[in-house]
Amino acid sequence: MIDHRLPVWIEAHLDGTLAGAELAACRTALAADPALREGFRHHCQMAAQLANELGPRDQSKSAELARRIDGLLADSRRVRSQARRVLAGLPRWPARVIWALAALLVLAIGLPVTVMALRASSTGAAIAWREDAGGRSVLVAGAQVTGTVGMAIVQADGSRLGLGRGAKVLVGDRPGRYQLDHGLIEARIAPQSPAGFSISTPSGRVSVVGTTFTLLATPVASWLAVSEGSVDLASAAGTRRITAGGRALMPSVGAPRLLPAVDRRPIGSWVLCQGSTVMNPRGWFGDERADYRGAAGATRFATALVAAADAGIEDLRAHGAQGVILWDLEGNHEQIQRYPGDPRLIGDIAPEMDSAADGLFTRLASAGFATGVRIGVHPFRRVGDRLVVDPDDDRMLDEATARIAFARTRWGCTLFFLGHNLTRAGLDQMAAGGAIDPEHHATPTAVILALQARFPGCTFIPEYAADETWALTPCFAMPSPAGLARAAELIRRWPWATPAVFQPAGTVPAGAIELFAVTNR
Amino acid sequence: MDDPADPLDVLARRAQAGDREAFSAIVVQTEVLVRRFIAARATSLSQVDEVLQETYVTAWIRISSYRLSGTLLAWLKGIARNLQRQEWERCRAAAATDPECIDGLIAPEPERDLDADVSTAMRRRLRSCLETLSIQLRDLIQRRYQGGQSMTDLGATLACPAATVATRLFRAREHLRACIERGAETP
Repeated sequence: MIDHRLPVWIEAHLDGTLAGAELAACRTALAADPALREGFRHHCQMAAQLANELGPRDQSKSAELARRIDGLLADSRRVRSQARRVLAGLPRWPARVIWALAALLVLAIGLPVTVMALRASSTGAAIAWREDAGGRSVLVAGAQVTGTVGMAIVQADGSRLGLGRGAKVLVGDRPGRYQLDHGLIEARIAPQSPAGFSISTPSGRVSVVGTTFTLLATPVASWLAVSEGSVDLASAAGTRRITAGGRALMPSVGAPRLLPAVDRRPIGSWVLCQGSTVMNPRGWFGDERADYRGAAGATRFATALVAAADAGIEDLRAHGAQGVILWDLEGNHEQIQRYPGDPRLIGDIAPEMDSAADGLFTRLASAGFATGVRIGVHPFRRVGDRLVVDPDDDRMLDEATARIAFARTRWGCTLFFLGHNLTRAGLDQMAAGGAIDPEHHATPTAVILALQARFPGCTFIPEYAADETWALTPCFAMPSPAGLARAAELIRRWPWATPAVFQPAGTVPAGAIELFAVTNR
Repeated sequence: MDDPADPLDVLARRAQAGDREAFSAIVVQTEVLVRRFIAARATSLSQVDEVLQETYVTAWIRISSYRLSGTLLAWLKGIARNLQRQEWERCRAAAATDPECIDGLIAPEPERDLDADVSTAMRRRLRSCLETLSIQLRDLIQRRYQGGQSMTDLGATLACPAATVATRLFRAREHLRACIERGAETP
């Protein structure tokens, strides 16, 4: 008998989004059943054939492939070793002397830009120039540049790499060869051969024909958005061409993959609990008169939850929502930890929700809505009966991963609001009541990219975000004039940036995801 | 030496002399057929592009070993077939240790499926079978394979759960397969 999950597994495999518990279940089923393997293969082969037969096909596609191949061949002397060498650490420069001679030849024939180089440089051949408020200075092979506000690397052909603050770039042995160790660059590359311009990152290589794009590199993954033209991503596990409008993730482990378009439909925010009373200690539905204690209370809670879910589903439909995020599944715990943001705890601290939650999520998903939870990103430590947040920046990724994996596996959640996602220093600022600087104290972009790599198909909405994070994922925007002005400014910089904002219906800025309150009835 | 009679061999000889422009012309002239050959047995959509690109890079590296005998297309398909076989062997070996690897589990056995090509008649049959799908399923197939929409995007566009989209695509491909097989059995 064919497993009923097979169709979803096949499509997710074809989309490159099969991951986590679903991947494990699929592997187990395939390993155990030859007929299932056969069916899976036939469907994948048919899909590849259909894509080939029906996909857009014209002469330009063949010519495009020819150009790409030609680019690879132009680099064939180094194509195999270069990526490995660059990724392994500081590159050796086997062709350095040749390129230095070539550059000297260019200098000799007196191009204006090289005259500038002669004026500015006392050693080595000019590969490019560093440009900032202080003017221009020559960059030679092997130079390292750390980005500051307004800084750019410019080439003689007009190509320009704008560097984000702290971005670390190593200049290669000729124009068009760079290594981005980490940080963000915004590039506008002059038209040239496919082999003409490439940027190595810890995850692989980015080859550019002539285009405008934003690239962010971290040790765990690189992230790319192409505004004009096209860009080839190549990692050890595969290659992928990203065209204008496309966004892609290139993890350090695994092939580059295209990220789906941001779904801008509204998301319901369902606050399950508020306050606390003796009879309703976890504050379910903020109902001060309800008694949810003991076995009888748990039954009453389950009944109330179903009624609330059905009312919530009506609200979601009325708003044309894509899904709903639950605030906070574990209930409120004035005596233990307010709104813990860790769904793994419900068995221990919210048994009535533990027994009702599976039905709740099934009900929401069956109505066609994506589901999600608000999570925190820092671990707890126990102090007596209390759980105390124990901020640990190094454990942020692992802690978030564990909480997300739990909700993903148990309920199929795909929407995650990362609440209070500040570094330890940021939480200290918050506790002191001072202004919080998200540029320095929000969850690092590396953590967001790692989560995207680990949980394909999931959406992460951080409550606090540095500017660069806005390029990667929908970010929560304060519905204040200052918050909305910041969102507008970041959308001007990255048109795909998506604020997620609580606003009365009808007043949400264009392009934003509205987070609307699902009514508790 | 006389010019070869086969136009592709003319280009191949120039490529053997190091002419990359001639090699680019070979890519343009053979890409569709080599791609189709690879797609007929690929087990994922990304595999087609990856194997295709690697085929031509390998062909360039080995172009001097090609004998000018009017068989360049077959030679390229041979490279593609070997690369695909290597990819499956790598996947099969990785399947035991790499929890991300699905291709290794579904890769065909080495002796199977490797020499089959997609005949013109088979492709024509596929096209006519597409016409036998319901309008809704045909639209879905076109959005998926012509428009390149993902399962999630389709779910959003059609306002239905992604699982429903997956099931409909599954049914559509089952229908196409049965239709093609019926046609193949028809004299």
